[in-house]
Amino acid sequence: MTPQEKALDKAISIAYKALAKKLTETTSVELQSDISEQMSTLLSQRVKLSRRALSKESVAFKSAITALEDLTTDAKEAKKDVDKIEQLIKKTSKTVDKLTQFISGLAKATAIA
Amino acid sequence: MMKFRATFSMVIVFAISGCTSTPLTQIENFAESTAKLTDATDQVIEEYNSVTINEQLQTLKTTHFKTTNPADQRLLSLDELAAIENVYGSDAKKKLSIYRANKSLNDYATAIKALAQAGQRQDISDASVEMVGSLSEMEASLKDLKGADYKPYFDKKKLGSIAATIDLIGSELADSKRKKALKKIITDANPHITQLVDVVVTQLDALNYEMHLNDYSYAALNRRIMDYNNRVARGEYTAKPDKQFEDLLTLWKQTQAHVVNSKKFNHLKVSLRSIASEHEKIALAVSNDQFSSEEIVDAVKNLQDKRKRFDEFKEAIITCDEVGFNSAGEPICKDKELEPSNEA
Repeated sequence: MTPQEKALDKAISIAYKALAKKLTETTSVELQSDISEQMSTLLSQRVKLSRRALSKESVAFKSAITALEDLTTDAKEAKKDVDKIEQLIKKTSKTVDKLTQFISGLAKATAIA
Repeated sequence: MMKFRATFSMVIVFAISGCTSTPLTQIENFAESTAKLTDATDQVIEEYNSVTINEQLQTLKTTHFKTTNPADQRLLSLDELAAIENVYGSDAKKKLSIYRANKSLNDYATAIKALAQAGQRQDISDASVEMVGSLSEMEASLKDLKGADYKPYFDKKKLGSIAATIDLIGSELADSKRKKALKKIITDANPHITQLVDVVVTQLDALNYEMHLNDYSYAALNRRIMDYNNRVARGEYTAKPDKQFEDLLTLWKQTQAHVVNSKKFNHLKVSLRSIASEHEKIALAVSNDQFSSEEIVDAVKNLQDKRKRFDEFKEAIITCDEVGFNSAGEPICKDKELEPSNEA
């Protein structure tokens, strides 16, 4: 938010609170309704101001977010790489299991013969 | 055969568990705390949307009342209702730098946590034991096949030694790969973490959330007083003095609680800032190959304490019955004797 935007937001705040206080100074529902309409207008202006302020982004931010996203991808890739060791051992187990099945089958066939 | 494998597995696990290396729990904890804080920030953005919508509806409500002349009656229209919208709709929200920065921090935290958990010693030990169990079964099949000519290839002692060797090599390799990757990623990420945390905090400031929340809370309080005044004017309390006192007491409590909200928000900003400072400590430690140094333990402990204090404080505000002030003029919860900390 620029200093001017901050000053405007502060001015809205002061006006908004002053109007809110006015609500307690009358029991006329018509007047209370008029005050609320003014508050509603100020609120719309504030929403516009907030949207504008948060839509801005710097070049430094863009490069920081790209770098962190790349490093996050690197971390995911590195995890896969580390996981490969465990997977390799598991894969070898499966190969040995298959070999065992083959030998077992061969043993049965030999016994029948 | 399965029974043998299970028994054998237990023996091997027992044999190799004595030389377990230090896990990277500190980095996991750090990532977990960071993820929780970025979630809390996301909730603030959602809360901001919700608070603003609520305030717009409250002001609209006061413009609708029963008039003496039906022709003057203000009626709600679809256009009027449609004009009230979130400050940031779901699509608009995703484009905001605060949201993207927050999401990036969260994704990063999740990814380094997953990396720190990858190829854990226990998982590799289990895989090694599984593999040796397979070899043992193969040995039994060979015995059936060869019959009287059978000579053992692997006895139990050899199998135990194979399991321990596979486990050692696998674990050391996984540990080395994991540490190398974590070192590079955490060190490289450090300046960007600082920058993104700064963006999140600056944008939270730009929301002027504290001031807006304060304004809306103040307006809500005044509307309640207005309602009270209207009830008095309509004579609703004439025969109900107890109800009038009860309403007054509620209003007084709400007046006291009104001041507290901004403290909760400040606490979140302090906790977010600590993500950057604690990450810097971890980056310094891992750059010196200290994966379980005291610095990391302290950094994580600090972060967890801050998050815990934030959670406790939030809980206290939600459940606080009697709000008071301490000697420094800061709001405190009297019934819980909890005092918000300003510690950075």
